Amino acid sequence: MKKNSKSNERNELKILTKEGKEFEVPAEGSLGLLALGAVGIQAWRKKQREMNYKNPNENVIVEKKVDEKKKAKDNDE
Amino acid sequence: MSKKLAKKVLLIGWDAADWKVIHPLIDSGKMPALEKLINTGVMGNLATLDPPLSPMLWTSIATGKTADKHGILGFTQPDPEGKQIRPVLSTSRKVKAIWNILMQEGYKTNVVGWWPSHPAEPVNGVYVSNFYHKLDKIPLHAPRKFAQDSIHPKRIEKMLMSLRVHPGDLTYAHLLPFVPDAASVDQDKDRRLNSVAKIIAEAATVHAAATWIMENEEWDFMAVYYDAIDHFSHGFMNFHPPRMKGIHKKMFERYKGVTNAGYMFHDMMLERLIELAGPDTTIILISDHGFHSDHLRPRGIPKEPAGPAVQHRPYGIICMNGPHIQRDELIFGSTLLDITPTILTLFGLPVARDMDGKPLIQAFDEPIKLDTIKSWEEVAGECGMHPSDKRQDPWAEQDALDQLIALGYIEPPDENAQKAIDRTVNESKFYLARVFMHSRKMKDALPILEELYENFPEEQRYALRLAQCYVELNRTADAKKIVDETVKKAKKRTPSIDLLYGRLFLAEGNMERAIESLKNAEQANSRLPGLYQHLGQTYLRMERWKDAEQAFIKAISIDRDNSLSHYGIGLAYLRQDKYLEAADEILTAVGLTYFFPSAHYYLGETLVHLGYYDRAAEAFEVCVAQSPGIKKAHLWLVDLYKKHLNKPEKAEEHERFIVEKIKSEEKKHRKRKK
Repeated sequence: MKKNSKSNERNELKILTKEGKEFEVPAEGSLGLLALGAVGIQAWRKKQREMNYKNPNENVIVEKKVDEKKKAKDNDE
Repeated sequence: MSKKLAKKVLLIGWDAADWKVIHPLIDSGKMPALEKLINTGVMGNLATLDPPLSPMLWTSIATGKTADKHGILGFTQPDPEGKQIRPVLSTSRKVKAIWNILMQEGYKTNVVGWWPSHPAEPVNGVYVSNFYHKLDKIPLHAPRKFAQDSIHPKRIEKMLMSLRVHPGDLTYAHLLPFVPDAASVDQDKDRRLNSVAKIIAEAATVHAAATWIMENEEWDFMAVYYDAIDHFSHGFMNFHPPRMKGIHKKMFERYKGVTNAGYMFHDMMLERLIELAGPDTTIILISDHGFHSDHLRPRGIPKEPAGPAVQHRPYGIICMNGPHIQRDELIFGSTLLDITPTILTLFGLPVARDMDGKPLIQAFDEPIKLDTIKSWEEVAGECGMHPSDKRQDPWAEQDALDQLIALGYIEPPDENAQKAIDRTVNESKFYLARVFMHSRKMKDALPILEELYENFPEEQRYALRLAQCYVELNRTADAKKIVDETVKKAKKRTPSIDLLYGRLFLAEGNMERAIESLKNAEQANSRLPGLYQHLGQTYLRMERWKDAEQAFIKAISIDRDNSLSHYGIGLAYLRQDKYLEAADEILTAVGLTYFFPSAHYYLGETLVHLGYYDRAAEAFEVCVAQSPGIKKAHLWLVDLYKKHLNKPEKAEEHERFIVEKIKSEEKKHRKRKK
């Protein structure tokens, strides 16, 4: 994958394949997008915003202890 | 000023990356970016330092100096109030890093994620500290706070903060390449998936900052550090094939691909960095140490501070590519102290004589005239270091605080905090002693170890290191006393203690007892590091050449990258008149550890036997360059230059050196002895 513009020019952001075709960014992301760096992350987030994407895996992956602590703190308050 | 070889330099750090893992991946086409970098550049081993602890090592890489000079001594330090411990900080570094020197010389420098690098230093480019990418302690949907002073300059703080990736942002699309059956992992019982997500997210965050800076900011030098390979390795190398004894088959099947996937992810990120750097940039990819991935993986981790370092292998990686760098060549004898001198040389700047490394000139495609300077510390001007009032010596501060507590001026920290502080302070002293021992400054190490042993006689690590130090100083009676006391306290002889007894008896010249102790150690643990080397050395002293050869061959079968073993087997061959084999082994030894005066000496002797007089002279010249006081080498050079190479002026030079320097030193030594 390649990109065709600077990573902070969000509106023009396009990611191209090695063959020069526009890459369809998946809303669930990919390692390839992370490896592209800033431009990949921005494109991924843009796609998620457009699709109003909710990560189905977040509760599996996120550190449970942190959320439990936060919940306990919120209850105390 | 010498010739400038590089326009821009990109220094990439992959903590714990190891050729032993990389080679099979490259061979199967799974790391194409690195493969290309190697094929069009140079590669080699990068010898680490002792202790192999990353914050100390990465600071040595960035300064060209050992830790006794740069001041970073471990993972933690006391806070300025002396009430708790905290991670080591950039403010504790006492000397200039390469980015400070380059800034002073007018080059624009960027630093991302270096360890330690918090708080961010006010350099003339962008500086992102090693606190920037830590997000896992923040709940997923909470505001993503960040550590103050983690980014310089402030104008890009908001931009870079928006690029951070939280582990909870990741989906199975990110995790499946690492753990193909991720969906079946019971997260209540097994939290390893969370650990994989955290490591990926942090690496992606560092990479996002680095790539954004490369795209949007000017730079001449940029250093980027990724810690993920080290984290993948500590977490998952025990699941790496082949399956280790004691690893459950189901767990092995589930996690066996994590480490390789981590390397492949880094290769993908490397491809992007290479693309953004462009062909005019010299790229240096390094690791601070390797990581045991084969039969040398330890079966357990010692329950002691920095215990996991037992998994580290003494050779990291180096790969260089770019203008004026040789193509498709191997380089030998590099250490991580050589990186800063090499970068200075690439920019045509002098190397400081108070640095402990050397420029890797063998990597360059043309001869270079090297300039030196006494010290960069004395060069005045804005260099982007923290102002002196912000810099601190946490160890000196701790002493001052202890004094104030003793005087009753301030309250002591609570008991648990005090224990943690004491442990940190003692460990830092222990690490400093190890740094001195590794630099062969035994006399500097000794008082520190004696103090530690006096205060903590039950701590076997301190006792055994003190005994080793005594052995090195030829104080075998003192060493024996310490080992005897340790055995008495432990009420048993461990293989390590038998090994140490072996060394002691060898030093005393009691060969039979040395062999007996070493054989005891062999019976208890035949894979004990250093065992067969010492056995081989003992046989060499006994002139039992064949037994020595066999012992060193066993040592090599355990670890083929051990330079001392190759050197030992070379000596055994030399004494058996097997000159070609001897030359081969000693060349391997100096290839692994270039700073090895005695190996260069015996290489010279072997080459004389083979009739290669010019190459023998080269070997003896390296020997005396590394250790000028070796008289035998000068005598060989006199002989070679006079009788075989027809260079009487060179012979005279060495004759003069023997008369003026060595003989006067010998005279002084005899006087002192009297």
